[in-house]
Amino acid sequence: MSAPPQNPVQDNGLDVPHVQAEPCAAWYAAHGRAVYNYFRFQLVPPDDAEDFTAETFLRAVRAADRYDASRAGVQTWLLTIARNVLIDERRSARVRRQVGIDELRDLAMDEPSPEERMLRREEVGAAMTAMGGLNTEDRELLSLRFGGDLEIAELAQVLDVPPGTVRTRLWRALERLREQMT
Amino acid sequence: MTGEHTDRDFDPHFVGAERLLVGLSFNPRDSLGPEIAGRVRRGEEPRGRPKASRAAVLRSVLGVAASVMMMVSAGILTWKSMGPPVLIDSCCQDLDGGGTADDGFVLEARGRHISRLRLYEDRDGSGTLSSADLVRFVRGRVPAIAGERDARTTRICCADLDGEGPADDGVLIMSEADESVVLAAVYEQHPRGVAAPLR
Repeated sequence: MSAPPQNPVQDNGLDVPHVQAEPCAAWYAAHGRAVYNYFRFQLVPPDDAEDFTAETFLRAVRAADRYDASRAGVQTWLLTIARNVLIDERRSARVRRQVGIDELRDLAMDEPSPEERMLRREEVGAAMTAMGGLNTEDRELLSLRFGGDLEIAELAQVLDVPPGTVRTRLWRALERLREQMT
Repeated sequence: MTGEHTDRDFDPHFVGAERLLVGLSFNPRDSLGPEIAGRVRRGEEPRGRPKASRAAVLRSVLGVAASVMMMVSAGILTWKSMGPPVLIDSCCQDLDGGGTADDGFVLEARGRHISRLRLYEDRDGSGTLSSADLVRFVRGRVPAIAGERDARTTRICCADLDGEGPADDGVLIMSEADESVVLAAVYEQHPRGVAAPLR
């Protein structure tokens, strides 16, 4: 990140660089779910995902004066921090490698009936198992894309590769996920 | 997928897998946001990167120390294997072909490894290299030729120039008609027919 901006920067209507609890709360309201979902797509169990999400935001507050809005949106920046958190946590073995299918208590569901909810749970369980069968790069890409909800250009920023490369890798990752699920 | 597709427009081949991922979402507990804000308000620091354990640090330090000791030992052994230090000031002979035996050479070496070889004209007749003398040629570790016109070769043999005991070393000088030296090297006499590498 480059030198701190002279004035507060607007991103999604949020004042970014002030190291205060209120902006942090606003960041969390706008992007907390994406950060949390990134960790969950990376097969981090719910309790650890909450812990890592908190760590991500604490680091973001700490590094807020280095944030450069001209280079990346807040969500892209936060997910870059989240990636580093996960790398550090895995290095220190504070995170389990796989999530159990029964650890889906935080799954968002609209299905009204218990039967439909059970089917949905099984479907998601199969998808998570398939994610677990992917290599690290594929899982990372799909987690940023579908958990972190990043677009191609934002993925290219986070991964520091051209957008065309992101598209190709995404295509291949989905191909491999489909193979895992069949 | 190709460049013509938009971000959300994947090959139908992947519709099932992609739709499942797009529709997949997890909800953090409601109190997580306020909890994080509270931690920020209290000035809580992030954990940061994991610190290496004391055992890991100790292992690293020991590893580095062992490497340094090995490198120093290897350096000492290499240095010792190069042989004794040599400083020879030999005067006076006709080394440059000028017809007068007023030239000398100063050889600085360690065993066979030459660090400097100087040729001089003993102008003050002191029999050694002095500030009044004319240094005609200086070279470093490797012999190199400094000219190529009608060079004349002079060999002075034999003496113990590398400190190894036998007087089997010689000095080879190439000079031009104007007494300028173009090459100076040391060699060890080999049996007839075996080329002696210049040092």
